[in-house]
Amino acid sequence: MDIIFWEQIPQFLVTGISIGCIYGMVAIGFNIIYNATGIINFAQGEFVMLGGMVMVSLTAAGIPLMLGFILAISIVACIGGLFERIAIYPMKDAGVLTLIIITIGGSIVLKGIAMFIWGKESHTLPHFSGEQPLSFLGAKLLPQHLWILGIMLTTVLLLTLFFRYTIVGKAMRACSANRTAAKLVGIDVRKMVFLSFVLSAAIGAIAGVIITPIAFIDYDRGFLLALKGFSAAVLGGLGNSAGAVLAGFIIGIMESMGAGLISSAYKDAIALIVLLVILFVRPYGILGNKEAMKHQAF
Amino acid sequence: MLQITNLVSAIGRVEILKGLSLHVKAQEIVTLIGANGSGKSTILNTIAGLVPVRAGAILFEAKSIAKLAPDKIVREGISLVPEGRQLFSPLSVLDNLILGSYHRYGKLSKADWDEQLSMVYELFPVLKDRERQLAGTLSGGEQQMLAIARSLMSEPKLILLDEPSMGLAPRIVEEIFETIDELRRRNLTVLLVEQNARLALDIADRGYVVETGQIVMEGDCADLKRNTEIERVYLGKTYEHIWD
Repeated sequence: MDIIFWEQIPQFLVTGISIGCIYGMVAIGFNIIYNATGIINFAQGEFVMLGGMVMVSLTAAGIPLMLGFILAISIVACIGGLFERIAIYPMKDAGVLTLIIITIGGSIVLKGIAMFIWGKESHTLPHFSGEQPLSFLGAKLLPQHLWILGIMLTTVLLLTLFFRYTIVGKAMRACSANRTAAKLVGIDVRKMVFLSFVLSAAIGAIAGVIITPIAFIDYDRGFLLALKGFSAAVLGGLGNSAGAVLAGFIIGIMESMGAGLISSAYKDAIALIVLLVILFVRPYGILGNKEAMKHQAF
Repeated sequence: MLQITNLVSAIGRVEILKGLSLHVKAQEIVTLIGANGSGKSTILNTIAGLVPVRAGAILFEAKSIAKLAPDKIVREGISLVPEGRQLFSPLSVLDNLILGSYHRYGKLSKADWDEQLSMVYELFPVLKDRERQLAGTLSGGEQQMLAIARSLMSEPKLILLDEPSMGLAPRIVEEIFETIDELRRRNLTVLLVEQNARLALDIADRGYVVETGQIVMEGDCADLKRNTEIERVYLGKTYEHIWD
């Protein structure tokens, strides 16, 4: 018994890290919109689901992997932009809470549309580069696991460069630092809000495309992903993207360890327990700033 | 340059400016003095587009700007240095300055932009030393300097200064006001709101006295300083020398 137990740990770790990548990316999506607008976009999980679904259709239509990947991301990014223009933009003076409820409504609508298009059954995608597992400390490591980790790290790196070194990235940070001042230097804040939805949707879509080969996707998948991604965002400190990545890994690993060592029935509960504990004990997150939290609107 | 007629503006339901008129000529320093809550800051915020105009006209170089959004007004050449600095605290000093030039960042050549930056550094050498530091970690005086510098990066024709002396030590205030004087030599036009009426009247060419959203007095600063009512209310002099 004991021997089997120890042998399984690396396997749980591999699974945990790759699902953690996805949670981290969902959390980053939350953060980008939160930083630009102060709202939590509960349609974030739907962007992930749509990314996977659109990719499924593109692959079925015979479009090659690379092109399909780019197309799927672009299509979902457009949906994200459209969502902002239709649901968020017209609400000129609405409060944060109203907008959050609108995003919940939006997520239900997107889910419904997805059900009409792709039906209720689960879909999957071929792996990016074969299914021949590699051996890693006795665990089976699929090439797709490496793709997930690599693409997630690349995305995070590109985002960091974007926010740090481009004028548009700086303008987006300026909006989250001080909206009034951003307007005064000539930044069109509403354009930045639009951009934040496009960017978040694109990141969600990337997560959806890379996870679908190893985890089935269906129209209803977005909700749980959003909830776990949100737990990661809160655990990492809302608005903090380095925290989001770290917290994504923590939740992913805890979840897969919990499922393997305790019972898989508790798998989905773990992220929620983490969320509750962190809200009670350290609501500003592991890497969040206690002082900054005091100045936030809610 | 700037012509305001019968301006009415309100924050929420409360009408703050009640039909107020004033003008600023090119290369002038004009100051608004008045008690707390008289509407001085609201005048600047309304010109900059942060507070919507209810009625009346704001003409800038003969063009109406009353209906424009703040980010469009900057492009016309008006820049507000808001009360309480309002810096991008988590960003570096240099990033704050880069964002100051946001509306023409793509259009400006590298050489022109560098020249603009070195002009600003020449005015505020301390900012060059602190280039990489986060704006939020600067001292109060340095933050005020950065706020003015950021505004200058947009190459404004008219600069609106809201309470530049607020919360600063007298020595720093003196330094800031020397810079304002320097702006005059660089042919900028300044509309200054200042709690410290004596300092404001010393530096400005003309002044307006604002009370409950209306202009109650206007004139050359030299005349305003001699006015007994202003002396009593805003400059805090005793009556003795008037009676003598």
